[in-house]
Parts: sequence; C-alpha cells; structure tokens
Amino acid sequence: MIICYHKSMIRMNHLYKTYLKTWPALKNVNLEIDRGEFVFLTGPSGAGKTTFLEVIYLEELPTRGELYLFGEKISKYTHKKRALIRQKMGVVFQNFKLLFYKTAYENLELAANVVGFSPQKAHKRILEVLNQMKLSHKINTPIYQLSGGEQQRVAIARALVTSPDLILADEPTGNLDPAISKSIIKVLEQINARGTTVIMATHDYDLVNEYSYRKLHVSKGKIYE
Amino acid sequence: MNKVFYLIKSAFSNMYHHRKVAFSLVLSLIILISANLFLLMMHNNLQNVLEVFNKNLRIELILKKDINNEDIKKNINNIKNNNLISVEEIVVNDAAENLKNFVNSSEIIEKIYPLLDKNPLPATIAIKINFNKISIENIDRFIDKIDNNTISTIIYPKEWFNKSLKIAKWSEYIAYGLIGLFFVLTYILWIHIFKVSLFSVKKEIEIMEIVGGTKTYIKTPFVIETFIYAVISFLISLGIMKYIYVGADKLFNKILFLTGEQILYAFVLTVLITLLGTEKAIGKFFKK
Ligand SMILES: Nc1ncnc2c1ncn2[C@@H]1O[C@H](COP(=O)(O)OP(=O)(O)OP(=O)(O)O)[C@@H](O)[C@H]1O
Ligand SMILES: [Mg+2]
Repeated sequence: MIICYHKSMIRMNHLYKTYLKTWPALKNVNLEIDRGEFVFLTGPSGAGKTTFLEVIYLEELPTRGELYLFGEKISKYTHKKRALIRQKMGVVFQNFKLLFYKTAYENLELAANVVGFSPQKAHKRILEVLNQMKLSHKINTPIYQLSGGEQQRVAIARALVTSPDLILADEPTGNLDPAISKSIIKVLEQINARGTTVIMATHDYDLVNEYSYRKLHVSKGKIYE
Repeated sequence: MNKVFYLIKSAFSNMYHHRKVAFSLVLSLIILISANLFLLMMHNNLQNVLEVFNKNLRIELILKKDINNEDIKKNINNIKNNNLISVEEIVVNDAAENLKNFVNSSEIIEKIYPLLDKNPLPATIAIKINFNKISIENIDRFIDKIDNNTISTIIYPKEWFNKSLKIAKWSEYIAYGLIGLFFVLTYILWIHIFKVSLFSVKKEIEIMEIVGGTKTYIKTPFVIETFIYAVISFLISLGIMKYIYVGADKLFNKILFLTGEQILYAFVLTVLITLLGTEKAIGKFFKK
C-alpha cells in the first residue's frame, strides 16, 4: 500500500460555478487550503459561500476550472468515488438536513454506520460528541422536539461523529446565542488542534474578528484573502 | 459483519415505517403471482381436458382378406415396437369374430347370413393411443410406418386429431403469452408501488448519500426488503394454489399440480423481477 500525504487539502485553479442562466455564483477562484488549517468564510447573503462548500463536497460540479481534493484532481467521478470522498468529510448544513422523526442518537448513528463504525464504536463516539455539544440530556429526543439551536448542535455533532479529515460548516452558529457560538468554535478549535481541517462559513463578522485564523471573504462570487 | 447486521436491521425498520404501503406491495404481488401460478396449473391440466374429449378416438386397421395369424402378430409387434406414439391398448378382432359381431348386430342379417358360403369380412386391429401432444404430432409418421401390404385400409379421424393439436398448441401459446404478460405487469407494477414506498424514506436516502453512503450500501436494505416481500408473497400464492388444487381435485379427478421445476422457475423469476423493479425504482432517487 502506498500512503500518500498531501499537504494540500483543497486547491482550486480558475474555478467557476455558474447556475443555469444566472450570474456566476463563483468566479475565477484560485486558492489553496492546507491540511490542519482553520478557515473562516465570510460574506453577505447570496455571495456564494454555500456554493463554495457545495463544490468541495461534490454536490455541485464546477462549470470550469480545476479542483483538487486531498491532493487528487477531481474531474469526472462515479457515485462510489464521490461517496468515498464524502466519507472523509463532515458537513454541517445551513438547513441542517436532519431526519425530523428520528432521535438525535439515530441521526448520528446513520452517519456512523455509513462509514462502517462497529456498533460499540459508534455508540461510544455518538455519546462523546453529543456530550461535547452539550446535548447529553436530549439523546433520545426526536429532532422535531428540539429547539432551533439544539437542532443546529445535532447537525454539528453529526458532522463530527465520523472523525473526518475535513469539516465544512455552513453557518453553524446561525441560530445560537453568542455564548454558545463561542463554545461551538471552541469545539471546532479542539478538533482542529488534532489535525482536522475546518472551513466555517458565517456572516457574523463580529464573531470572526475575535479570532486570528485565516479569513476568506466572498463577495459576488469572488474570493478575497 | 456489523454492516450486514445494520443493513438487515434497517431493512426491517424500513418495512415497519411504511407498513401500510408494504401491505399493498405484498397484496398486489400475491395477486399477480397467484394469477401466474394459476395459469401455469391450468396449462398443466389442458392435457387432461383434451384427453377427456379424445377418449374414444382410435385408429382402425382393416387387414386384407386371407392373411394368417403370423401376419396379424407381425402387425401387432410392429405397432407395439414403434417409438413414435404411445399405445394404450390394442384390440384384435379376427375375421370370424368380426363376422360374429356383424351378425349379432341385426336380426335380418342373422337370418340371411347362412346364405354366405364364405366370410366376407377381414380381420381388424383397433389401436387406442395415449392422447398427448407428441403422439398426435407423430400420428402421420406412425401410420406410414405401420402401413404394409397386409393392411388394406387405415381409418382414423385425421381432422379431429389435427384440430386437437391446433387447440393444444394455441392454448400453450396463449398460456405462455399470458404468463409472460403477467410477469411484465408484475415488473411495471412493482416499480411503481415500490417507488411510492420509497417516498417515505426519500429524505433518508438523500442524507445517506450526503454523509457518504455508496449506492450498494443505500440499496441493500431495500433489496433485502424486496426479497422478503417476494418470498412471503410467493409462499402465500403457492398456498392459495394448493388450496385451489385440493378443491378442484375433489370435483374432477386426476388434476395436476405444479411441478417442482415450475415452482422453482416461477420463484426465481418472481425474485428476479421484483429485485430488478426495486433497483429501477431506487435509481430514480439518486442524484445523477
Ligand atoms: N441551485 C441553484 N440554482 C440556481 N442558483 C443558485 C442555486 N444555489 C444558489 N444559487 C445562487 O447562487 C448565488 C450564491 O448562493 P449561495 O447559496 O452560495 O449564497 P450564500 O453565500 O450561501 O448565501 P447565504 O448567506 O444567504 O446562505 C445566489 O445568487 C443564489 O441565488
Ligand atoms: Mg448559504
């Protein structure tokens, strides 16, 4: 077996994403994000933050340009290839994408099983991340009975449960009060300290300015350092 | 191993979640499979029906006058040893016997027959054949084969045989055509009903895709579920057929059930078709 270690986690060269008949959502993006980085993605609503993350987790194909993930050029890929790449990522969606009639535990279990955790390992890990997200008391509560902020934390927990190499968080603090927002970032920092790359999109400039991490600003589809 | 266990568990959980749709899935499958097995059973018994109609049909050989017993024996052996049709019974009447029968048939003849100085009647051989498709198909060749210079005439209801053969053939085509049609119907119906059942887990499929589930992984629980439905429906349909069979057997005798081979083929085909249908139905839920 050849073990490849690429310092670069994400690389984009002249990348464009244009939705049908609309103004390009991403325009000529050139950037590199290394392993272990913590990156904030800021920008106004409609700037293209979600699109940027969607291109990375292969939900949307770039219209033009090159994309490298984990040091590998991504051009055409099969469903399986995409699935295997996604297994290395944890995504927190802006709209959560949780199963409303399942419990917090079951939502996390689904993700843990997909990547092949044994029931024991899954169980241990699920309790661990739910505890990290301060949801230990809501383990067996169905999602629809949780508050918006609690749902958001379940969404974050699901992204963490598989211990991925890359975390993409789209407005993970959107529904949270400042104190909890900070505690969420603290958790992401802890994970980042163990080597996981974190990309977090937000339009909360005040929050971002409290940290000295790399900041990418998105404006009308263009990305500025 | 853990994965397999989890996939089976989620198959049962899916079944529980859309149990109402599951009921109609199984019910429609039972109806279609039963219809098919019933057709197959009917087809098996077609032979019986034709046999009843043709019970008294026979081939009559009128031998030439003045032949000896050796010739009759030769003819009988000839008939017995053919490999074209299966003979059920051979009845030989020698000339004297035929005369006796003829004389006994009417009082007038009984009175005038002493005027004859010589028996004018020949010996005859009546052949009753086992009525089946192969025998009827081969009948012309059989007659060519047994014909020889000791036989003056061969009488058999050629038209009737041809007609029965046609009926048998067409019934077979129709039966197989209908069976094929029902399997196609099963396939189409299965795709649509299964798709409906999938709507209840649409979001789950979407999320499994997003967290990195491969197609095989996502499909497996549904494949297991489909297999379970197919087996249950098939067994119930087979039960229904057995019930019908027992009832019909009381009314008519000598009714045939399905052969082991037919049951096996029907089972394999049912499983195959439902699995293909499921595969097709899930395909629509994947992005790209
Ligand atoms: N599926 C789509 N089809 C067409 N246009 C789209 C689609 N998704 C996004 N867009 C457009 O692309 C642009 C960027 O959208 P995007 O969702 O990336 O913004 P965003 O920065 O995440 O905004 P927000 O902060 O409100 O979430 C918008 O103008 C949007 O209308
Ligand atoms: Mg967005």
